[in-house]
Amino acid sequence: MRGLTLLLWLVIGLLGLPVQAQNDLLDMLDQEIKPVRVPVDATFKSTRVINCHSIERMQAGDLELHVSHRFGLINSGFKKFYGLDESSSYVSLEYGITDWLEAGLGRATVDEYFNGFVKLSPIRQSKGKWAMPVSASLYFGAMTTTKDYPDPTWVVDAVHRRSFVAQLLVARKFAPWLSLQVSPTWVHRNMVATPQDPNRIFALGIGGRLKFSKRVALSVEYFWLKDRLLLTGPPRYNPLSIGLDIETGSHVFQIFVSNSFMILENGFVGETTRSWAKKELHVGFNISRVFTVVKKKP
Amino acid sequence: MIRNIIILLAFFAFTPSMSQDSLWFTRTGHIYFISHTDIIDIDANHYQTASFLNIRSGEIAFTLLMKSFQFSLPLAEEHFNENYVESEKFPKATFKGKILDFDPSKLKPDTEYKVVVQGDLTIHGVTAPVKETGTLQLSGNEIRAVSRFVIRLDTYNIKVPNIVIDKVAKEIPIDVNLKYEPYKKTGTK
Repeated sequence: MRGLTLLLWLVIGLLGLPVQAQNDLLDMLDQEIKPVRVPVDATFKSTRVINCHSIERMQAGDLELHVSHRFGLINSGFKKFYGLDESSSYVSLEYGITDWLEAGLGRATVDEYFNGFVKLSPIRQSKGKWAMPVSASLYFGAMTTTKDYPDPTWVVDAVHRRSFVAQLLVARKFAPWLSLQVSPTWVHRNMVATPQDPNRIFALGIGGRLKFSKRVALSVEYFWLKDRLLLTGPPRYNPLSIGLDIETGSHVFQIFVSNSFMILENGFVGETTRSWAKKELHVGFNISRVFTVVKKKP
Repeated sequence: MIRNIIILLAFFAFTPSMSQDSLWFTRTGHIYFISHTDIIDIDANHYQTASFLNIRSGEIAFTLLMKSFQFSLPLAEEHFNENYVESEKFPKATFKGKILDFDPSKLKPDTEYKVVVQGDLTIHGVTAPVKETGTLQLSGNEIRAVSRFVIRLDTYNIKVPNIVIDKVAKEIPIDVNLKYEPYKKTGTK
């Protein structure tokens, strides 16, 4: 009986403990807070890794003015001012329709392409409730060239001037300083040089960002082309780009070297004819300026 | 034995309710701040601030998730979380303190009870003592708590880079607006 009484008091003592611990109001608050989904922001600072689109997009109501340049070959020497005489450029406007849907229109000087695209971001990396390990975006683009073909007798109708691109962009921010992206890419060209050339090219892109200060990050991007050797004409290479991302408030500035001169997907995938091994490199930069067109309702 | 069981039952019947009767609670508190400069106003709302108020002792506590601030400028939200308050490293802001010379009898319907709150405010991993004024007002079955105070970014070691120094205010006024309801244990709202 004595033992039972003792046991009873022991039980009371133990049950009483949590009540004691709850005396701290902050601890009690922690227990009361419902777990929420916390999306991971800023996997990349820019909508581009370098050439390739990143999983990021404009949020609803934001408009990005994107300007890209690729200069000529660095090893062209002083005569050509190390490539700075020559440049290819791309200008686009990209608007966030919703927080998960962006659309853009642009113009590239190489081969005189207009392009339009949509980027959907259905999956966002998040912590807490409904945690998600990665972010994923889908990118669909169409390009059409307005160039004149070398032989004026060629009649190239509109359909044959078009190319298309589809990408699945999957990224994870492993830590505030490290983000990686894998980008399976399909490029479809409606017209190719010879019947031996495939219309559709598959490439696997990998890229990443290594942030080493609050404003500056190292970025790297590489695309492996599955059917690189099937392409006729000059030898094609896998594009590799290495650069720096510099963030200054509402601007993101990316400067890099790349063996690709082309900026659009149907260019840097499949038309990269320069090689790192031969030191055929271009300096390039992307500038992104964001304007908030429609403010969010608080 | 019987006596012990009665004591045990009494213990369960009274202890929790005794400690919780005096507790009022909200998880939908509203906090607003604005960084005002000549160039740009950056403001944000937080609608999920959780707070306890003990109307016996005057103790008060707040917790909020930094990531849940909603900015009218989306890019500002990203910069806030990533560069200024570093939400991944310091996910929460908390306050723990007391109402000075708290007198529960002054909590009357439709009369503003002016109070001074003193305690520790933790933002960005830095805890600093604060002493601010506010009001409490009982109306119906809720207690409304309102306060407006100013914090300095450097107190909490929040660094603004030189390039945007003109766009972010050094002193940030904060509005707190809460409606406490009597606390019921988890599971009820």
